[in-house]
Amino acid sequence: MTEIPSLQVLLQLTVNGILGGAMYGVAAVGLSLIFGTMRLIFLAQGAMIILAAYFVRALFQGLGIDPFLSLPIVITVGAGVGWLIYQGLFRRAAAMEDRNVSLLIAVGLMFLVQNLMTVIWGGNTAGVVTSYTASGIGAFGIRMSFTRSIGFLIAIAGTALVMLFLKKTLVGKAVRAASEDMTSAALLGISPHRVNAIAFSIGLALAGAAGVAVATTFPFNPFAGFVFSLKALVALAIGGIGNVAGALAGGIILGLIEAYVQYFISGGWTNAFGYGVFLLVLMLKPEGLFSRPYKKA
Amino acid sequence: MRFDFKGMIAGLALSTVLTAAVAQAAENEIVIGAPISLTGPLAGDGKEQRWAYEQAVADVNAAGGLQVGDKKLPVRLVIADDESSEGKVAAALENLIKVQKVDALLSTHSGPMNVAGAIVAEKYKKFYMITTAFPFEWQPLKAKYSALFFFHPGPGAEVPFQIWEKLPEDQRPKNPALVSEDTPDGKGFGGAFVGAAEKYGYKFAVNDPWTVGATDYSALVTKLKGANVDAMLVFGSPADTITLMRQMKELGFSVPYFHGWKGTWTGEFHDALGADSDYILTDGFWSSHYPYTGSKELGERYEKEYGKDSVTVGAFYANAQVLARAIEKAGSTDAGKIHDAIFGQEFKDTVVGDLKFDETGFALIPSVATQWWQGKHQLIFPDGDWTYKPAPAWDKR
Repeated sequence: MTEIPSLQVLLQLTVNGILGGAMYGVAAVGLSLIFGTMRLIFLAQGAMIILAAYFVRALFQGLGIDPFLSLPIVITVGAGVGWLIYQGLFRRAAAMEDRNVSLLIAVGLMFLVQNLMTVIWGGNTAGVVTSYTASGIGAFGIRMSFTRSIGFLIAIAGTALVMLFLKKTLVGKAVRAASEDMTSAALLGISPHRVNAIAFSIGLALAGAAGVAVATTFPFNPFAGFVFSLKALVALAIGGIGNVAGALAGGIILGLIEAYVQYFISGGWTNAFGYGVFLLVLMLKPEGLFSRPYKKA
Repeated sequence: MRFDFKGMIAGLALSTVLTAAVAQAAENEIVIGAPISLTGPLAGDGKEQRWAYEQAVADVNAAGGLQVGDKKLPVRLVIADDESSEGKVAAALENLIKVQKVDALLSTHSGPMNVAGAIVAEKYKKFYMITTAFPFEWQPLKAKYSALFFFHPGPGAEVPFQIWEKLPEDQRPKNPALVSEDTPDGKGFGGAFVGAAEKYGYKFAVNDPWTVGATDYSALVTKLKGANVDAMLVFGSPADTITLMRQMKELGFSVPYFHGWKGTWTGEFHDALGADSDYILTDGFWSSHYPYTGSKELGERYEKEYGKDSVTVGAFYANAQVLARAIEKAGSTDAGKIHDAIFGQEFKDTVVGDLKFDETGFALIPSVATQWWQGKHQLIFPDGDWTYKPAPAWDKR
């Protein structure tokens, strides 16, 4: 166990944890939306994030578009892909009472995307190297990663926009209604397929946003997405399944746990603590730390 | 259901013709099979391995083939994708042995995958020539139909300390750290580093395992910075090591001596870090700077094709060299005869040097240490011609 560190080190760890956790958070927000309407843990979310990262790399290397400037393109394409995936793969399964079929489709999609990426881009670790890659910014003795800081802003902005959409637009309210009770929502004239497709579109648009953050920050390979899916799932459970802001907060909490455990105990214990907290929350407050017992999108 | 007598006769005739063709092919050529990771997370390594095997086979055929008895037979290489999975190696080997009817086998890579391959080879009595597995993983099998050359983690872990011993006193690390991934390989290698440190009179200021596939090592960097670490021995995957390096730079932390295993030798490491990979020391199984026959030419050939160098292709090429020479020596592809031609025997002047196999079928090669410099691996250990350069702070590079 490490000695008690200075305030500066504690601040540094906190900043590290928040910036690292925001990455999980943005993946968890997409997962949360899809779960909200379809009651489906979309395990392919991580693979879609990595697919988006490869797309960002292709735009950068092929057309010279800066990864952060490619954000609108990637989000738009992500939303379109989400719509198509729902209509093509999940539409029929979504009408079935047995959710396992949808889950199996998600697992199949994950493997398919992973292997397609391997065939197209190879299994090697890939990355995007820009003039600002690995650059840091400093203030008050604290150092911050430039790309992670932008990733954090993307996570906050993405979550805020999704919340505004859900609360202020008619379509968003329909999505919320469907996530509360799909049967009642359908009786009121809300098309389940439409809200599901919208949730998928937004979920994959967020995967696109996360892909931009990943491409600029991490090296990645076709199989790197599974960790994001797992961490997003943990973040989701901590923050509250079906709670958009809670999902982001859950990601940040997970990031802080990992940072503190890595520093004070050992890097080998980070996952054990992360998954331990995940189980504890599910045992003691299954609706998540930031949700009321009846979940809302 | 109607019985189609004509169809049955036609099927039988076709099958007889095909069987005869396979038998004819078997008499006129030697078929070597190789399970290789063409897909999956190890596909990058598999690409180098495939290239090396293909080069070795092409070179054998260019020289007229293998002398087996009174005939010189051409060699044909057949590859099966093991999908980078321990579980899929057995299926790939069974396909090669039962469907492709190969005469002998060259290995895939990594310990657990090669152990799986050796077990299948033993079952079907086909010789499986291995490199890139630790002897402690393969030797407990007491295999008759496979042989291995590679390095021991023990001597491999001593390499950095041997390099430090040769440095001027003021360049020797005072506060080294060990960061080894949280896997069986990482723990095995980590233990070997701790033993080597004790032997050479060093103590690690930080000895921390790190999680595979984590996206954030900033807390680890903060810890290393706080402990005034001046040298790092790092065992981890390319992706994790690249993330660590990037975060070290973001957080303004560098060490004069950074030596990586597993994750730093690949071209992707340099591609992802660019000039930031300069000064990094890396492991490897081979170097084109070796003075052995064909080493330099093989390195040049690889560089010409891919525009970068490699620290692995020589080991895989040598693997094929050993199998080819053993088949010639045995005068047969019979696994028992190949066993006799390798176990307890010496193979002089391969591209990794002389290989002396002991009675268990194991031959030791040295672990290589190179330093990245402008996109190339410069050989430091063993007997390198490159002078180690300590890394300055990030803002002074």
